[in-house]
Amino acid sequence: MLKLKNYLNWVLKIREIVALITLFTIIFICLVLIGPIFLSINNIANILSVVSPIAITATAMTLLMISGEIDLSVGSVMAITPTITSLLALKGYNIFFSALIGIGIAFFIGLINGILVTKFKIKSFIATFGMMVIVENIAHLLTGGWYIYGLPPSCTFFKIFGGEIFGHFPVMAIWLLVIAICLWLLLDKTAFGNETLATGGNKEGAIKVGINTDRVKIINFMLTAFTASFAGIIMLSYIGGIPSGIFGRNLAFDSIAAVVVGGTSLSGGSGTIIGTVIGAFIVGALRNATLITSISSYWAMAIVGLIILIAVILNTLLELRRN
Amino acid sequence: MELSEKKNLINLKVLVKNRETVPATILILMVIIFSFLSGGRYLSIFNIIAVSQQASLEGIVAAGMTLILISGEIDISVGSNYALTPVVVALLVKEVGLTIWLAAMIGMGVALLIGFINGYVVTKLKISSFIVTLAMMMFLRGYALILTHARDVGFLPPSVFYQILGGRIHTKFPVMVIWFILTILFLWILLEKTPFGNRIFATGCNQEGARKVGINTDKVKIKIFMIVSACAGFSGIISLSYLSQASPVQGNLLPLYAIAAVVIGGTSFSGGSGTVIGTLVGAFIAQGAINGVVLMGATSYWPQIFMGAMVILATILTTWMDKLRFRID
Repeated sequence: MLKLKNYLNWVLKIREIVALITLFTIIFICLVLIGPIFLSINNIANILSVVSPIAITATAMTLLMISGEIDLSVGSVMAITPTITSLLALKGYNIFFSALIGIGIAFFIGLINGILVTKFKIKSFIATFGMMVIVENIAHLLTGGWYIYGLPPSCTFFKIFGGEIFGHFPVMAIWLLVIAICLWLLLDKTAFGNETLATGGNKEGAIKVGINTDRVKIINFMLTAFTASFAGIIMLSYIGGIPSGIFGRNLAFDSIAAVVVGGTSLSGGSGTIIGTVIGAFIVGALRNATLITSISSYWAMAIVGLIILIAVILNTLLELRRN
Repeated sequence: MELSEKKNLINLKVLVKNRETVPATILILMVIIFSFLSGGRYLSIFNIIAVSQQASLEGIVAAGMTLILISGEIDISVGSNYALTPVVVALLVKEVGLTIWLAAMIGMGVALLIGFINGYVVTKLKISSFIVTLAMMMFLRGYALILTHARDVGFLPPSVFYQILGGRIHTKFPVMVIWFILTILFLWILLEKTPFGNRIFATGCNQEGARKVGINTDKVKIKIFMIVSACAGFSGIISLSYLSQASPVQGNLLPLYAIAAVVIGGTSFSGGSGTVIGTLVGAFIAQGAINGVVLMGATSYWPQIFMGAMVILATILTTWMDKLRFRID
């Protein structure tokens, strides 16, 4: 009996336990409702193509939320970078150069977000909400509402970022791995990671110890914008064009959901990259499930909402228990 | 210091101290500028009616949202509530055969329940209101789509109910503006003239301190969440009366517009203080600005860009005014 209790205690100590259990539950439910085709090679590749942009954005968002802020503008950043990139490329500029400009614009947006929050002291929710509306509509303005096509699908650039290897395995999953590892190293092994945790955990205390919390937050905002724009470039390369209209609208909520379900607390101070990646798989698996079963797209919203709630409740309870 | 100089100082103080000064000034300036730029079309009866209707529907929700912000929380599920409540009401009338009066009462009950759940999870389970209302928003939207199979619900049997809520006086004046003003009045009295209002301010200003003085901040917040949900449901039923149909996809941007109205109206995001009168003005500014930009010939994207910029600028202005107010005291 005692051994079981010890084992249970050890299991509950794993930060990502809620996320893991949720993931397995979701997969199980999907298998039951959809059948073994859900885990077919083809579908796993599809799931990866949905998960990757979410996860890439969510990993940087994790750092941002650990430092105590949030960014709702990621969806519009993910939309505007490929828009600018393709417009420039269609005008004849080199595609790598165009992408650089597009990503540069994203850095700039992240900088604005950071300044609005730290120097102008606007709550990050409102500031990034406003930026989201502005940037999204600028993106619409640039495309005039049409979708962009006509870029050569087989050029090297597209292959590097949006190609497929071994049949259907999307390269973007490798990019996800690279970025996740980089950000994990940043969070866990560098002074900046420590500063981020301190800023979110106890801002006053952090300032007293000499940490420039403003700089930490601005850098995190820029990192988040960068990953969102990178996700946009990846999607551009994968699809070969930009679908009109609601491109990227779900990204903000999906990535925030991934971070939160993965165990990062909204008030900041703690969180893990691994948890976020698991959370991204949960959200991605759900989105994929709704895509391949056309009836449940309405259920999807309801279920995702419910799952976020349950996962957050469980995480909060565990957090309280841990202290 | 001479008496006349003292008088000037006092007047300036009053102007700055009053939270409604800034939005009122912005409104007047805006009306003047847009009237000039649109060659008088801005102040046509047709235009004023259109702006008033939009401002009323969003303003009722914004009024409740003011209380939420003052108490230091947020509720982004209001848009889905605004869709779900009229859907429930319409379906009760159409499929179950209830009279609209009974259906509307049940609908308001549903809205209050949603508010209660929001408030309960935020206070008792101690989860951030952003996450809770985000999840609720997705859940309610999905549920509304499921109930209606993504179709609008219309063709309801006629009733004087719809005239009372969404009709027009003398075929011109929209009744919903009266409901908007009544809501603002009710919440103003609640906020400024009752002990409950005091408790709201105290909770938002310093939750720990409020608790120590014996205020049950959990109860206060739960009630406020129920109030804003009731506002969203009420506004939804009014829109049902006006449009004669309930759409499960309406209200998508409602949280944005409601928050914009509150923020432009001078309520600060940090909690502890705010004004519903300011929200009244803010609602008209928000809708009036969009309308004005559209009248000037801007295509559909510019108004929203304008809106986003306005929200950010209004927040900066309000924060700056707060600092000024603090320094004057």
